[in-house]
Amino acid sequence: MSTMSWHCDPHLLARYSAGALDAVLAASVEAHLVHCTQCQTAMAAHTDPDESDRIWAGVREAIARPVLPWPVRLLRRCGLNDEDAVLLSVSRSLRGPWTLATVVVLVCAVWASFPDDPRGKAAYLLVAPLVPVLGVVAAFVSVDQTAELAVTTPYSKARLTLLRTLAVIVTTVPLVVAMGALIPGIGWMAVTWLGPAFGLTLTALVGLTWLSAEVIGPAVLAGWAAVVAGAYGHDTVATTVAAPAQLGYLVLTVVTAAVLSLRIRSTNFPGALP
Amino acid sequence: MGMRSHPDAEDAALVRAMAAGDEAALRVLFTRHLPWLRSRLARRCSDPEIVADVLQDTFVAAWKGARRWRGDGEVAAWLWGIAVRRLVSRLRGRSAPVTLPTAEVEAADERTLSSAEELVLLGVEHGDLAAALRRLSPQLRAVIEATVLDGLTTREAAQLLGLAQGTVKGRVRKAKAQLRQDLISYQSGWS
Repeated sequence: MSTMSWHCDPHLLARYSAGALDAVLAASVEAHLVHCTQCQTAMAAHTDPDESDRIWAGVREAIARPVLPWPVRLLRRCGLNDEDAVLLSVSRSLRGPWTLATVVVLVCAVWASFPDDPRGKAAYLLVAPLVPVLGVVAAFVSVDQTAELAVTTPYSKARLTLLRTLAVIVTTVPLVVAMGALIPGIGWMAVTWLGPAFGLTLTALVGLTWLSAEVIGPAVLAGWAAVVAGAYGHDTVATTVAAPAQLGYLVLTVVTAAVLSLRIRSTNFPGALP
Repeated sequence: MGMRSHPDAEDAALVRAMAAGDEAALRVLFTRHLPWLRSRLARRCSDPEIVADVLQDTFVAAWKGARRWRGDGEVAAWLWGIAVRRLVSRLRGRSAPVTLPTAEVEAADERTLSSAEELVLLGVEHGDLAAALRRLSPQLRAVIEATVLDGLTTREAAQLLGLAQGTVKGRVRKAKAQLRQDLISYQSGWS
């Protein structure tokens, strides 16, 4: 590399870095610079060392940053800021629900695809809407490493709560939709479960502003199980996600969202028990 | 291994050390290549903030991609490839094209500037092509520079220059035709 016999003189490099060369001459200098270590080094004279230090500091910071789990990376792409992303990645609430959801939904979805077994569809409708609910509840269950963080940092609890919920939904909902869509025989059920899922998730969040996760989780689960079981008993499982029922879930979603925002405004955050 | 004690290490050795997680190697590579990369980017983008961002991204990408570096070709060319593409994607979606420094800065001054070294440089590297390139209009030269010298695709060049793809294609075609004619008339003038 440095065995090249010709090198740019300092004056030429100075004019090049000042942008004072014509295009052809500049292109020649550039072609030479790519191959010549000596001239590359000589270019250092034309660089502001403070600027270099700043850029280097930025590089170091970027490479020192830990690799975030994929749901968090996805959220960052969608505009989540860095602080929130780091906070989410330290909370362990993501991996558990996701793994659980994968296994359970897969089993139920396969079962639901047997055309002559109505129990399969019932199981799918029972499980799918509960996946995000249980994910959210699990994010508030007792041993929580971010709890201390929430106490010791001036980080809004409402924000923390909504972030966790968002993370759980981003992790679980696309997964369940994808599985429903990929496995034949489920049809519209692959998306209609989203109605009860949102209603139930918000109900759980509202419940969490009064009671602990250990109570709310089983309660919501039992409630939804009763609805599905009742419909199954009357041989009308499909009605639980039919149009009138969807309207009901919509009302439930709107009402619970309103209650939740009222509760948060009066500083009763989900999971923050008195 | 500590690269700090080997500031003269070859680029390829530095990239291999980076692949093994040696941050000191990245520092040496950074110090060596930042200045010329900065100047070269600055000729293509007049906003120093963007240039600084692109430089940071470039070395971060080099650090992360060190393991994927195949080891053929020069590290400097690899770095430039990363840098110019980062610049292109950074400029994507900007409505106003970035003003490139115009090529005519010292056109008048040129005769006095042609030192022996420069003549060698131009003579060896471009020969009569240099003269032909000089005769191109700034717009045509810009597309040749982006596509031929920077190695960008038509699409990337269009993003860099803030032009429609069709415009870039048209200008490349026009520039090629003009260069060919210029070179042919040059040769026939001598033969």
